[in-house]
Parts: sequence; C-alpha cells; structure tokens
Amino acid sequence: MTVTAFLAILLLLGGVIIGVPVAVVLAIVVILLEIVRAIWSRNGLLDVQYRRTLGRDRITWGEEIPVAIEVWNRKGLPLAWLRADDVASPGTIVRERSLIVGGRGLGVLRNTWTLAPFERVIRRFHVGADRRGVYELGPVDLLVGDLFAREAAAATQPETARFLVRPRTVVATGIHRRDRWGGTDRALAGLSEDPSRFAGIREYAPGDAVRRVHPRASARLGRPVVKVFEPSRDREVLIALDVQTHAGAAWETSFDLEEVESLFVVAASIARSLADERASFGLAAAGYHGAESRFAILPPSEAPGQAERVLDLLARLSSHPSAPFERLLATISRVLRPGTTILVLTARDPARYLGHLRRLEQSGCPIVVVACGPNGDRDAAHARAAGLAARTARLDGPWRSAGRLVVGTVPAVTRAEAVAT
Amino acid sequence: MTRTDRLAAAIVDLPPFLLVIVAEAAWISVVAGLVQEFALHPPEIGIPVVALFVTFGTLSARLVGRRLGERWPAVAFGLMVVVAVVGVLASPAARAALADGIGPALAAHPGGLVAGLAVLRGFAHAELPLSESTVARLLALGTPGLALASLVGGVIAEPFRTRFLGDAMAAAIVFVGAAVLALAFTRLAAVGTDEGLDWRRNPAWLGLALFLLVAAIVAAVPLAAIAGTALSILVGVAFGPLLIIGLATGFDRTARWLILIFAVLAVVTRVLATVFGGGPTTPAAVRTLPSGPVEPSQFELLATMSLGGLLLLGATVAILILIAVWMRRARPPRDDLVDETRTIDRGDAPDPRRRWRPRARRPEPAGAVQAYVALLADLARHPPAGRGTGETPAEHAARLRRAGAPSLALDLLAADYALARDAGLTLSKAEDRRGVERWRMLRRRLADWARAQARLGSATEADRDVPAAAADAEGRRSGLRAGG
Repeated sequence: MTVTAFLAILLLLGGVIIGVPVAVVLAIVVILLEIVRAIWSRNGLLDVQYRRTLGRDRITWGEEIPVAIEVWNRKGLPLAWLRADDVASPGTIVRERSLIVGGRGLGVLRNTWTLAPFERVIRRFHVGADRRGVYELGPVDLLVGDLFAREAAAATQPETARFLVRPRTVVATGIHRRDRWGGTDRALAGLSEDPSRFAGIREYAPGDAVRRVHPRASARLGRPVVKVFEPSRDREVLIALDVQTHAGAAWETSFDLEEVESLFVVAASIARSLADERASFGLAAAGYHGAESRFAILPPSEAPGQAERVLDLLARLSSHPSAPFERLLATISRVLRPGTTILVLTARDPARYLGHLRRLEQSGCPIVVVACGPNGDRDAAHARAAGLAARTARLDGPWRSAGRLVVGTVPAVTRAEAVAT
Repeated sequence: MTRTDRLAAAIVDLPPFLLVIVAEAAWISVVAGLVQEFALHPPEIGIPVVALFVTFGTLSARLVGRRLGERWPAVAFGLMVVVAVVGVLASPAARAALADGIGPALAAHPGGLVAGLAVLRGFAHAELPLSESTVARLLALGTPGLALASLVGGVIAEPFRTRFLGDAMAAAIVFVGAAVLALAFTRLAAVGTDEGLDWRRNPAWLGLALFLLVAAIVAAVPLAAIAGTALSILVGVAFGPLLIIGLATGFDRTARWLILIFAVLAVVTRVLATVFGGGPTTPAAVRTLPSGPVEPSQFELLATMSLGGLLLLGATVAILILIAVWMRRARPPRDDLVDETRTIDRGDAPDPRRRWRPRARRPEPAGAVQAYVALLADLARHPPAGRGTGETPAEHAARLRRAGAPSLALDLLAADYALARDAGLTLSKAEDRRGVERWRMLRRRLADWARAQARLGSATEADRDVPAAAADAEGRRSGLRAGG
C-alpha cells in the first residue's frame, strides 16, 4: 500500500467518523486513483511487445539504415503513455530525432506513444553514425503510465541490435605494383606472365619453350605459333595498418581522432582500389576488434566479398593500438607466404620499425611504405632512405568530404634531406 | 507550421489550462464561502466568478508580466490588492456599506478578498504547457485542504452550515474532477510532446479515464451520506463473509461448486417463500403529518448541491470529448518527421465478448474412438498440440510427449483409436469408459499446455528480420586469426 493510499483511507475513515461528506468524496476519488495505479502497475507492461528491426546490419559511413520500431499493446487496457528509451552507442545519429541523455547516462532514442487497446504502432527511423565503428541499439527501458498518466511500471528488455559502419572510401589512384611471376616463387620463364590467363598466340621465336607451342593452332596455320598469356602482376598484398598515429609508446592512449579516421579512410580506399583490380589482398592491424586477439589479421584472398570483409574489419578496429606495430610485423612474418607484398599504411615516422620491415623484405616479402600522415613526405623519405619502397597518400580534403586519394612518390629534395638526417 | 497547425497545438494545450483554472476556482470558492460563513453572511461569489479572476491573473501575468520584467512583482502585488478590493465591492451590500467606511464595507463581504488570492493563483499558470509539479501540488494540497475547510465550516450554526457544506461538496467534486484530469493532461504533455505523443489519438484512454472518474464521483456522493451507517454495518457483517471466503479458498473445485449450488438453492427457496408464502401481517404505524414546512434531510441537501458540481464537471468532460472528437479530424503536426503507422491488431487474442456468450454444450463422446476424434477437434484450435497433416496418431502422441506434454494418456487414447480403426478390434466398455475419461482430462490439460507453449514461443522467438551480428560469427566469416 502506498503512502497516498494510506492517507486516503485515513481521510475516508476520518470523514466518516467526524461526518464530513466532502472528505469522504475526496478520499474515494484518491483511493480510485491508487487502485487504478495498482492495476496499471501490475498489468501495464503485460502483453506489451516492443520490437526493433534494422533494415541492414552494415553500412558505409554516410549511409543510413532504416529502422522500424514497433510497439504493440496486446491487451484490453489502454495505455495513457508508454515510453521506450532505446540506449544507443555514442556517435549514433538518428535522422528524425535527437538522442537525449537517458537514465544510464548514455544517449537514448526516446519514443513515447499513447496506445489504445490492441493498438500496434510502427515508427520508422533512419540511423547512421558519425564515424566508422560497431554500433548498438538497446537494451531498451520501457516505462508505462497509468490511466491518469502517472508513472506505473517499468521494465528492461536486454535485446540489442548491432550494426557496422564501414569507413568511407574514395577514389584512389592506383598503387603501382611490380610485375612478378603470378603466384609462384620461382621464375620459370623470362617474361612475367600469368599462365592461367590465356591472351592469344604469336609466331614462334627461337628460344621459346616447346611447352608453349600451341599444337592445334600451329597445325591449322602450317607454321609454329606459341601461346601468349596476360602479363602477370603482383597479386598478393597485405595491408599492414599502423593504427598508432603519434610517435610515443603504443600504450599511450592519446590520439587525434580525425587523423585516425583519415588513416582508416585511406586504408579502406586502397582496399577498395585493390578489390577493383581483382587483386588478392588482406589486412593486418594491431587494434582491438571485438575478438580476444590483440592482432587482427585477415589473410590475403581474392575471393568474392574480400573487400567487404576488409571493410568490416576496418569498421571494428579500435582507434588506438592494442600492441606495438613492431610486434604485429613480427607476427605477420610468421603467417605470410614469402612473396606477398606488404603495404604498410602509417601516419607517423616509420623509423621505429624500419628494422622489422627490412627483415620482412629479406624474408621475401616486398615492402611498400605508404605514408599518409601530416608529415607524409618526410616519413616516406625516411623509408626510402632505409632502402624500402615508399609512397605518400593524401586525401584531397577532410575525410568526411574528401573526393579522392592521391598516391604519389617522394620528392627528391625531401629524400635527400632524409638521407642526410 | 501553418496557422491551422498552430491552432491545433493551442487547442491541445487548452484542456489542461481550462481544467486547472476550474480547479483553482473551486477550492478558492470554498475558502470564500468559509470566510463568508464565519462572518455570518451568505456566499456571494461562486466558482464562475472566481474562475474569471484566476483567468485574469493568468492572462495579466502572461501578457503584462513578460514585458515588465523585474518590475512585475511590485505591479502584480498592486494588481492583487486592486482585484481584492474589486472582489469586496462586487457585493451590493459592501457597496452600500462603503458610505460608512472601509471597515463596514469589508465586514459586509469579507469573502471578496479571495479575489486577490484567485489572481495570485492565476499567476502560477501563466506558462503553457503547465508545470506538472504545480498541478500536482494543487491536487495534493487542495484535497486535504478542502476536507479541512469542510470540517471547520461544519462548526458554524445553521442555516449557514448547511449552505456552506452543500457548496463545499459541489466545489469539491468540481475540484477533484478538474484537478485529476488537468494533472493527467499535464503529465501527458510533460512526458511525450517532443516524442510524438498525442492523446487525441487514444480516445479509448480518454473515455475510460472520464468514465472511471465520473463513476467514482457519482458513486461517492450518495456513499458519503450513508458512509457512517455503511461502515458500521460493514464492520458488523465483515467477519462472517471473510471467514467464508477464507474457508472457500481452501476448498477444492468440487467443494466450491457444491457450496455454490447450495447457496443458489437457498436463495431460490428464500425468494419463493417470500413471493408465495404468507407472513404475519402487522398493522401499519400511525403516521402524523408534520405541522410546519418539511425540512429536507441532510442527505437530500447534499445530493441537491452535489448535482450542481456534477453538472459542471459533466460540462467540462463534454467539452473535452468534443475537443478530442474534433481534433481527431485534424492533420498531424507537420514538424514530426517520423513516419508512423497505427493499426488495431487483435492478433490471436481471444475475443473478450465471447467469454460472456453461453456455449452450446456438446454431447460427450460415446466411446474411445469418438473421444479421440473429439479431442483432435479440440486440439485443432491450439496449433502446437494439433495433429499435423500426415502424422499418425502414435506419431502425434509421441511428438507431444517429447515436447513435454503433461500426460501419457494421449498415447493410450491414440492406441485405442488405432486398435479400433486400424486393427478392427472391438473395444470393451471399460476401455471406452477410460477413453472418455482420458478425453475429459486431456482436452483441458493439453489446451493449457499448448497455450503455455505458445506464450513461451512468442517470448523467445528470434527476430528473423535482423541477421545475427554476433562477434564469434563474424570471426568465423571473416577468417580472423589469432596473431599472438
């Protein structure tokens, strides 16, 4: 029994005993309010169904997911109001509503309905995010009011809905990859060709291998011709993403979020560019990504959906490193096939791990350092000075609005300065 | 926002404002009546006049107060004093006594001073939407305040006492009805105006709230007059029924049916004896006509005076309903970007009206085969327990048993059916009797079990529209490997 109900009963008894009809009438109405509240607090949330449906579970930054929020009052009691506070991850953007700070101190998508008996209401929203990442909607706190709109009952539904926001991709100028023998470790011929991609025939020339002669075409033409294949390119690339953007130790948690996001946009754009060239590529990074391991390593593959997998992994990666980049390089040297080109994407001076890169190259994995930080030219020059191939990559604007990723080479002056350094 | 939308929004804000004005006027009129009663004068300003003063206070604070800024408190105080004087002079007797000085004029209509109080209370509701805490305090303090005022007013001698109590009853009815509704609307406005809540879309809520409130007040008015007697009777007779209820809750189903049947028989016997039986006739008491004019009883007075309050409350309620009906035709506000769909969907909920409809009693099956067929017909209404297409009786029974159905009796009944239909055996009478008994038991228990299964199924059903995004699944799909 509530305090109000107790006082109302006292008022009722007092009114009856002393003989004050007004007190009796008032007390009866107040008791009615309390009874109504008791009924609604017991049954208000009974048979109330709340459902949240996401149209997709993955988007690229800038897109939106249609979200349907459905509430169904499956009983005969009308609800003056029903409030649902759907907890949303920080950074979630709802086009139609502004998130407010809820009872848990987190941003919530708040919806309030008034529901007739058996009424089902569906509201449609569009949800996005302010940067890449893994976002969740839920759990939801339900609160219901009684017939006279007083708060009557509350409950929490723990179900959550998760969606990924992949980093933005922009058009990237191609990263020139060296011609290599397609997928093998030993050169069997003088030309770099991919024997799996037949291109045509040409006249036989002395020195051509007998196995390259096309017997049927030679018989048909009456002179020897040999098979010609498409030139082979370096087809296995591993993008090694250096998540750390500052020069200090990896465990220092300070980082410039915008710079990190730019780095991820560069990585995503390069991955997309490689996918467009149908290259076999993968991703490795020392960042937290939702699994137990501190390193996220996606082996190179040219299977369909590899670009999406890489982008998903980029969406999941934390903005701060989980381990020193040198340890990641040491790790990938054990899991990579020799011959795989390692594309090191970094926004800081690679001097700290140049030794590791050289060892990787000596083990048969060509290294290309892509410097995309604010001092990209200088960082690339340092890499070149260490005998590694280096490029610079720069977005032509802030990552939210950039339209192109320009991959360039290192200016000679800067290189000379770096050597001198 | 167009002019029509602004008008619609203003009309939505209007009901709680009007109701709170009426509630304020109701309790202030009781104070005015109390002051008048102690001065041994009849009350001269009622709820409508006080409501005008409250409205004046609200409008002046809204229109003038904002412009004056920091000078407003002093001006408001002056305004209050002026209105209090106007309230006093609203009485002809006070105006007549003004020639003798301010004191006699004030003594002629002291209740008029509360006009200043009404203006002061009007200042509190200058902002729209109303403050929930202000309206809640009005109800929380006004309810015991009115009771206290009635108690104090009851000590004055007649005829002022009866008049005051009648007016106070009417005002209390108006107050509690208006304040409760105003608080409900104010809460709704506070809870969800920004999140798209619009009470006009829920006429069922409005209707039920009004109905319950009016019914409670209508029931409370006569109850207030007879409450003393009723309470003494209730205490006297409560012991017996409580004892019976306590015993009855301990009985099983059969015993409760027996008691009910005996009770019905007893009532019928009593009614028959009263209608057809002749009792001893007693001479009617000799009544004497009163010599003077007949004085109405206190109950009659209370009921008469309460009627006015009920009518006023009824008028307010009618206005609310009209607003709700009219505004349902209006378009929703355009600034709400959310696409919303509303439907009335009863789903598979049972029609509540069917509960009260007497069902035709079906004949009981004569044997085990008929019992099995009848049971299948019963179970067809509960999909989890029904027999599937192409499912043999034995498979059906086994499936239910594996799923946790509460009894083995279905297997036995299905076996009886198979023996009779498939094997061509003739069942004994004892087997038929046992089959019918199993039907009786299974039709209830399996239906209950099926309903429980359906509830569990809907509660734990996965959302099929959303693909799972579990971390481990992602790990497998993307081929992530532990790196060290």
